[in-house]
This record gives sequence, structure tokens and C-alpha cells, in this order.
Amino acid sequence: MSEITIQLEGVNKFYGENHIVKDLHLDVFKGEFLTLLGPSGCGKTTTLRMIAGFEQPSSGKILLAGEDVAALPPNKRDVNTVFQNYALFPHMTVRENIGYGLRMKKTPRDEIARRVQDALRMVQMEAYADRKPRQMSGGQQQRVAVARAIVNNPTVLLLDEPLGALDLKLRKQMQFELKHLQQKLGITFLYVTHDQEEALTMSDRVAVIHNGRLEQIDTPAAIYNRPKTRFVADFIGETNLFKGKVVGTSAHEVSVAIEGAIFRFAHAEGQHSGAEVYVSVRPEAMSMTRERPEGEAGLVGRVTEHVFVGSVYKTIVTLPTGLEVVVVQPAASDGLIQQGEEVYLTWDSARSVVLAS
Amino acid sequence: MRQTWNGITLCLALFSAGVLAFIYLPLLVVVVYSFNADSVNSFPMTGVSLKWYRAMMQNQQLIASLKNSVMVALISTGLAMLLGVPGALALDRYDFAGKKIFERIVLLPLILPGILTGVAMLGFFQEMGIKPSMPAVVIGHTTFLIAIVLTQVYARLKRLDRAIEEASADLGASRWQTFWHITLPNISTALIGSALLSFTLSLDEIPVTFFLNGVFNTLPIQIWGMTRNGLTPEVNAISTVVFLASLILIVISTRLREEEKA
Amino acid sequence: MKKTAVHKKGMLLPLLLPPAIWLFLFLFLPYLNLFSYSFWKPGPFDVVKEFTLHNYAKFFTATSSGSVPYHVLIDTVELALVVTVFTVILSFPLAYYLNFKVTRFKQTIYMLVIIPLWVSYIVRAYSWKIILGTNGILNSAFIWLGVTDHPLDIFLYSKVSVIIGMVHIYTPFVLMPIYTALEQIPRNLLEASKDLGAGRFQSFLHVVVPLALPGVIAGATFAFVLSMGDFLAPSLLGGPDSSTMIANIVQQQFGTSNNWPYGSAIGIVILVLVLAILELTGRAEKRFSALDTVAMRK
Repeated sequence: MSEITIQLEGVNKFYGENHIVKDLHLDVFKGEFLTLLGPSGCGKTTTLRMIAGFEQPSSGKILLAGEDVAALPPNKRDVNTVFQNYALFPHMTVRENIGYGLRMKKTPRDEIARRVQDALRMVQMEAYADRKPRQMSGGQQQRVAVARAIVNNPTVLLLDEPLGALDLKLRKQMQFELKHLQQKLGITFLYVTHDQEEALTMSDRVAVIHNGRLEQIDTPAAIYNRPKTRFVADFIGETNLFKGKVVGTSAHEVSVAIEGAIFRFAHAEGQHSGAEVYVSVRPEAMSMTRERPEGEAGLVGRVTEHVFVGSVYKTIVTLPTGLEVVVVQPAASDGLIQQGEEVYLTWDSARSVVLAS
Repeated sequence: MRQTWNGITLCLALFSAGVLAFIYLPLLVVVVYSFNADSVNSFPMTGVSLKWYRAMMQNQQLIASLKNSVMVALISTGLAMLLGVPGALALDRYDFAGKKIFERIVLLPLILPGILTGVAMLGFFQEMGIKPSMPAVVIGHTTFLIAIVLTQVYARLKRLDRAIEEASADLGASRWQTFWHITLPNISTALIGSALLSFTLSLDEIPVTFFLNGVFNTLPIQIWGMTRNGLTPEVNAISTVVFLASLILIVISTRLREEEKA
Repeated sequence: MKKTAVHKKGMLLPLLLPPAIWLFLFLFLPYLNLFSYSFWKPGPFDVVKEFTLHNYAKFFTATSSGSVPYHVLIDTVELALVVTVFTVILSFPLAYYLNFKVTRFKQTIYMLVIIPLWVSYIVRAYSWKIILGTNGILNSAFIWLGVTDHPLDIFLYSKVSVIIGMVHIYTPFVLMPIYTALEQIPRNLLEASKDLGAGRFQSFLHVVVPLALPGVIAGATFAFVLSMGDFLAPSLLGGPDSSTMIANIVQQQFGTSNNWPYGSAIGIVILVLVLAILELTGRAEKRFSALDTVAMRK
């Protein structure tokens, strides 16, 4: 693929006894929108802060445009950050905030004025140029924070949960604005969030991080459809996880025994006979019938809940073992299933994933 | 039920008004009697005059002591800022061995009775061969003013959003540029407020000054001497001036702190 | 979270050393010197640097006339306690009223109360002298009103006048921490208390008082320590018997009596007492502070 902008090579970070970031290898490509996604405390913000220069890695290397930046303080690194709570300078106007970085680089006055004006236009904040941060809403402050960073033309823009403080509607709107801005400018975005929907919507690639370890890095669709670990399957969207055992393998298939029935799946790498595995099936890949499906293995369970949630019906089927399975069906299929009924569950094995235990 | 509660509220209100009166009436008496035509502070006042203000203006010792006080207050406040602000920065930015102890020791001259600090310094200066004098008074004042500056500036620094300093570094500012352009403007109200408060406290200080001044009289020491030698009504006049001056300084510094909180 | 890497340890010493050295020179060494003085002998002109426990012994044993000097300390503690109790009695209702009953001009009234905290000690002490004096305003008002026909001596130069003066001087010190403590009580706690069936008085007793306690302790400590070490108000407002609180004795030793070692010994006794009180009340405050935001003594 294209040129690599940021390279992390075996980066570790300890705070005292706590191992926050574990042996992280990561390549960020030029011009891409890469998101570090994970629950709070997983080490994603620490990773971002190490790239920005606010933290030093305990071991490992960070390369920016091929250059090791270990010795460089934050002010000497060609990256800029959009901070979680914006960190706008409260004593400066919007214009002064945006011009600050250029001023520090001793840019000529008229050039500062011009570029600040361009940046203001880009985030549609021209009308607020002379306000102080305190006099603006969260969304407006957010735009200023973005403008303050991009006006410097950084190699990489680091964004630390930049939309976390906004309400849902504004957040959705800003997601699209940020994405469009990134496409327009062509700057590499490294984005940190714990919101999976945000990550899937905006990113070219998503890196899922858990307990300081990189679980999977892939396109949003691949992350959703082909999770590589149990954590990723569970963390991204809703899923049904079935515990099973591999009972046979062939060139193209594995057979897995689940709840006493045998199911076949497209070949999952590295699974050998007898291995304990998890099978992840998205609720919308599940189907449910009153009659035993022909030629297919199915699980039998009883409908314990059947609720309308807007566009779809969500049904919970409890298996004899007590396992609860979630099934999502289009709302059009209304009226077929009643609570308490016995049903057969099957799934689209092409949309299911076998994961190592 | 409602009725009895209103009764209690009324009692509370009356009591509170009484406390306010208790705090302010004596001060008011001094102000009113500074305009007394008579030389005896008796009730009712027999007439109104400005003669005690005239007497005050002509009292050379009093004027000299006022000059002394302003000089001591200016120098001590300056020194306390020079020592206290870096101290506050050190406390805010770094963890070091003995930090907790340092924080407590700094406060001691504010909490301990002034007389102890006064006699301790008197003895120490005697050992060092420093005679009671103006420099001794300045050292005494600076030592307890450091506590004022340090605690106020430290409190402000603690509330300062650390992210704005990181943002500044992120945008290419060096450490000094960040301090100059970001940190300093954001703690300026605390700096001005603590300087004003230090100045006021120095102007008013007696217990430490008392032991260190020798023949160098500050204004409160001079007033103290005058009140001891019978009642000269000029004291009312100079007290009124001192009262109003410190009132103005205090209102300004309190306003600054309020503004900053908002 | 650790401090940022922007600030390396390098700046610690240049920042910390100047104030640390100053405090070492002009706070620590003077107190150390006071301590050593207390074990030396007084001489005709200067102290004689020979070790003795005599200064402490003198303070705790009876003189030929039968009086024991340390009784002054006990009297002083008593008087300081009385002052403390009155300052709390005056402050608490006012702080409570301001916080829970006043809505308009609350901030202004609060400022009015605490401003005298910083307004000239000497003016405040002196004001009582012209009010309570023999030819003072109170006496002349009484004569004018016909209550009495000659000036009464009972007001000034007594224990009562010292107490009145000190209560006046130290009340704002007590009011401030109590006010702050009350201010920080979340109002929904009172609503919750009422919702759970407590009456107004019960809510006050079980919610307000316990949460205000650290503030009360902090304020009372200020009032107690400051009035215990005060030598100016007693000598201005006190009579022959009451103008001698413990601090006055110290002052005399460093002045007219010219016995610095003895004065130092008494000073050390006061210091130890005060530090013990600060330690105890500090612990008590911590123990009773349920709200971690209640940070007193700012």
C-alpha cells in the first residue's frame, strides 16, 4: 500500500506496576483515517499521547515519517492534537487561539492572518473569530479546536475523543464534518474513541485495543463481519457467542459441535480437531422457524421475549441449557412468533465466525 | 408549623443583623468620632470638625511611619512574590521527597501566634548580629507573606487545566513560551490578588514587627504607641484612613478572586 | 496520572530552592535558636550559653509569693476557650442564615462579614477602647441617658473587655470556614433528608451539623490559637490583673524583664501546646469531613 506516516515498533508503557500499553506494533498510512478503538483505560489515549510527545514509551520506537522521535519534545514534533475537552486557551479569542501555533513558528503576520481566516472558513466559524472560548457552545469550541490544529498543516492530526463532550445529535453531525474535512485536506487522522459506532462510521481502518494489546486492525466492515478474537466480536456490535468443539476439519470447512448439534463453517485458520472454540453469530444473521428446517442442523429453544424496537423485532430465545440467543428480524415479519413458543434456530454460516477460545 | 418556622427564621435574621452590627458598630464609631470637634470621645458628639485630620497631617512621626510602612509592604510583597510564585510552581509541577512537610511548614508563620515568630527571629537576629531595623522587619514580613502568595498561587495552579499547556507545547511553543503566553496570563488574577493581600497584611502587621523594629516605626506600631499614651483623637482620623485604605485593597483583591471563579 | 514529560525534573531545584532556603534561614533556624535559648542561662547583658533546665522549672514551680507562673497559661487557655465559644456562637447562625435563607445580596453580605478579617487589627482593638473607656462613649451615653451620674469603671480594663475585643477581632476568622463548609453541602442532601421523613430540625441535626463540623473545627482552631497568642489586645483593653496573658509574659521577658532564656522557654511551651492542638484538630477535621470537597484552610 502507500507510504507509512507513523510507525510504532514494539512500544510498551508502564506506570509503576501497571502495564498500560503492551508490545504495540502499528503502521499508519499516509492520508488515512485510522481509529484506535477500545474501552476506557485500554491504553489508546496513552498511545496517542506518546505519539504527541506528552508521554515517553517505556520501551520501543516511535517513527514519524521514518524518523525516530524519542528525543523530540511535543513542540518539535510535526503532529497536532485535538484535545478531549478542546483545551482552548481561555484568555485568547478564537482568532488568537487558531493563530497561536503559527505565531510560535514565527510565521509572518499577514500570512498568519490569511491562514487563520482560511481555517475559520473551513470550519465555518468566521462569525465567531473575536469571541472567547467561554462565550461559545461545545460544538463551536470543538470546531475551533480542530481549526487550531489543522491550520499548522501537520503531518498527522491526533484526535483524542474529540466528540465525547457533545450530545448525540451534534456528535453525529460532527462525525460527518470531520470525515469530510479529512478527505478534503488529505491529512492523516489518528482518532481515539470508545464509541464503536463513531469508529465504524468515520474510519478507513479501525484498530481495536484491549488491555493495552492490539486485538485487530482492519477495515470497519472486516472488523464487524470477520472479527478475529472473541473480544472484538463481543465489543463491536451485538453478537451471540456459542461455545463449541471442533469435531472435524476439511480443506474448506470445519465442523463444530454446539449444544449437541453439528454445524459446518467455512474454514477457520488454525483450528484443529478437538479444539475448544467460540462461534460468533450476529443477531441479524440468525433465523428462527416454527418447523424444523430441512437438511440443516438447528437449535431448539423457547421464545422468552419478543419486543419491537423500531425498525426491527428483537427476540430472545432461551435454549434448554439456559443460554439466551438474540435474534433480530425485520419488522415486516411481525405476527409469526409468540412469546413462549418453541422455535428452531439456524444461521447463515457464511456470516458466522469461528474464534479460538 | 409554617408559623413557628417563620418565627425561627425571624430570630435567625435578627441574630445575624446583631452580629453584623457587633462587627461594624465599633468601626463606625471610630469613623464618626474622627470628625469630632471635641477632644473627648463622649456621647453625644458636640460638633463636627476636620481638625483631627489636620493634626494628623501635621504629625511628622505619623507621616514618617506611614512612609516606612508603605516601603516595608512594597519590598516584602515583592520578595514574597519572587520566592512564593516559584515555590507554588514547584509544588504544582513536581513530586519530591518532603513535599507534604514543606507544604505544612510554609503555612506555620500564618497559623502560629505572631509573637512566637517575632521573638524567635529577634533571638536569631541577635545571634547573627543583625540589629532590630528595617531589614529585620522586611525579613519578618516576607517570611509570613510567602505563605500567602504560595498558597493562593498554588491553589490557582491546581485548578488550571493542564491540557492547555499541553496544547501549547503541541502547537510548537517551547517551555518558556508556554509559561509566558499560557500559564502566566491564566494565573494573573491570583498573582495580583495575592500581592494586594500581602501588601494589606504587611501594612497592618504588629506582633512580628513589634520585636524587630527597634527605632524603625511602622504605621500600626506608631498608632499602637499613640493609643497607649492616652487617647489622642488623631488616632480616630488615622484609623479611619487606614480602615478605608485597607477596605479598598481588600474589595479589589476579593473582586479579583470572584472574577476568576466565574 | 503522572505529570507531563514537558516538565522535566530539571526545573525543580531552581524553583524550589529559593523559598526553601529562605524558610530554612528565617523560619527553621529562628525556631531552632528559640529552642536552644530556652536551655541557656540569663546573664546581665547577654545570654550565658550554659545548659540548664532552670527556665522550664521556674515556669512550673511556685515563686516565693506563692504564685505559679504556669497558672497564667491555664488562665489564658480558659480565656481563649471562652473567646472561641463566643466566636462560634456568633458565627454559626450567621453563616447558616446567609447560606440557607438569604438569596439576594448573599455574596455582598458575606463579603461585608469577612472584610474586617483583613482590616487593621489595631483599629479594631482600639475601637473598643474609645467605646468602653472611663470617659468613653458607653459611659457618656449612660450619663446622658441618666442611667448613672458618674462614669463607671467596670467596662474597660477587665477580663470582659479583653474577651469582647477578641471576640470582635476573631469572629470573621471563624465565620469564613463555617460559611465555606455550609456552602459546600449539596442542597439535594437536605431534600433527600426531608424526602426520607426527617423534619427540618432533624435534617439540621443529622445532615447540616455533621457536614459543617470540619469547618467549625477549623474556625475554632484559628480563634483559639490566635487569641491564645495575642498580647496586644490584653495590654490595650485589659486591667492590671487581666493584662497579663501568657503572651504578655513572653513579651515582658524579651522587653523590660530582659530574660530571654525564660521567655524562650515559655515560648517553646506555647509552641508545643499550639502544635499539639493543630495536630489534634487537623485529625478531627479529617475524620469528620465526609465530603472530600470540603477543603478547609485555603
